[in-house]
Amino acid sequence: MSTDSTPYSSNSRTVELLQRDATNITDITIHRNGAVVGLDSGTYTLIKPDGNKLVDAAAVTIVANVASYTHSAASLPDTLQLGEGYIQEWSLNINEYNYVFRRTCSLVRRRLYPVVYDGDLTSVYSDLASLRPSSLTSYQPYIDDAWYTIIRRLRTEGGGLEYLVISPESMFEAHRHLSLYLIWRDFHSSLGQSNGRYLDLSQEHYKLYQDEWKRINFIYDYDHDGKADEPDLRTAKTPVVYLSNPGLFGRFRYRTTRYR
Amino acid sequence: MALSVSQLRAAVATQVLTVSGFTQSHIPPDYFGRNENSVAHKRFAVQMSTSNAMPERQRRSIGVMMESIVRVKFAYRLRPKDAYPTDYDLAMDTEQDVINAVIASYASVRPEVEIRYSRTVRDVTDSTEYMLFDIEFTAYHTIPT
Repeated sequence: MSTDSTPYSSNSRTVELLQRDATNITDITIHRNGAVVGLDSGTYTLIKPDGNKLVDAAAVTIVANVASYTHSAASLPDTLQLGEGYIQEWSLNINEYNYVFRRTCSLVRRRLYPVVYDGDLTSVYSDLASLRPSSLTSYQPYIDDAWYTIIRRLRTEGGGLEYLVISPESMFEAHRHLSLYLIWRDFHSSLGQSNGRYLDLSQEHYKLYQDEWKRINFIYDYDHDGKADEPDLRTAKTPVVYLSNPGLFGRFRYRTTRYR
Repeated sequence: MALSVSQLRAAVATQVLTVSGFTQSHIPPDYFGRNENSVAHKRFAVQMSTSNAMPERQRRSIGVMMESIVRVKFAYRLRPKDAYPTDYDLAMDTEQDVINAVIASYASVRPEVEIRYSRTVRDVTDSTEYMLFDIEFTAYHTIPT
């Protein structure tokens, strides 16, 4: 089967997580021109960090143009190496062409789930419920988008791997402020103005989000053993890394006359 | 039985309160629009704008018959994603409910008052957050002496 260069979107918002020693359903939806693309058939391959294939070209199930594959608990035994480096390859046939969509994947002991929900937003703004667009029944899309943004930022800034964080509540404030920022900014964008209450609120919450982001610290599981490494000590999200020598002042001050 | 201006205001307010979701503002109607955002939706105030004497003898034993301009002001929140036309239309449907409530039967104060609808001024605030209604009625009543 041939292929072409149509840039279909596989809509991967963050690294796919598979939980070890558990049944996992993983799926993929392909988008183009704002619509879900029809899938003819496809296979699924899961490659381990050492390059060997854990699942090799297994047939996928396609329902309503969503391709999915179910990992049994036995296929992800607890002898497998935890962590990064796994790769999913979805080989999907679309309009007589074959496309291989790759997604990075992590094998984890536990997933990290968010703690913020609608009530946490309306507890700050009591009128937020009545401002909700008629097309929505909750603010979940904004909450989800904020969550994925936080996860991506955590990874790209070297703050850690989300599935090793044992204290999900440590993200609460940052997640709530970012959700509110997205909501107010979206409201402001609908009004076609250069200023206003919604814009002020969005900027306020973006600043608060940035402040909270700097302060995030959590209980972490560096060695993937499912336990807090140091239960009484919280780990700062962003480590301080010095890439230079100590300042000159300190060196001269403590240097003895012998080395001058 | 006569009906004072303040009694008339209270009677109109009681009628407006029968409309679903309406609450009375704690801010005088002349400054209506300064309600805090969190409670402004369907907040209303009844303004007794002006009163004019009716051409009659004004006997002290009966009281002074007058024509009072009663204005009901209320705010309706426009959701940012549904401001127009969805909420714009819903706001005018609510205005209709208010008019019907105000010109309805005033069983407790009849027959000392007659109320007629005159006009409505509609406005959307600069922030596009609220639609403000100013509904004017004319009331004929006699104040006690």
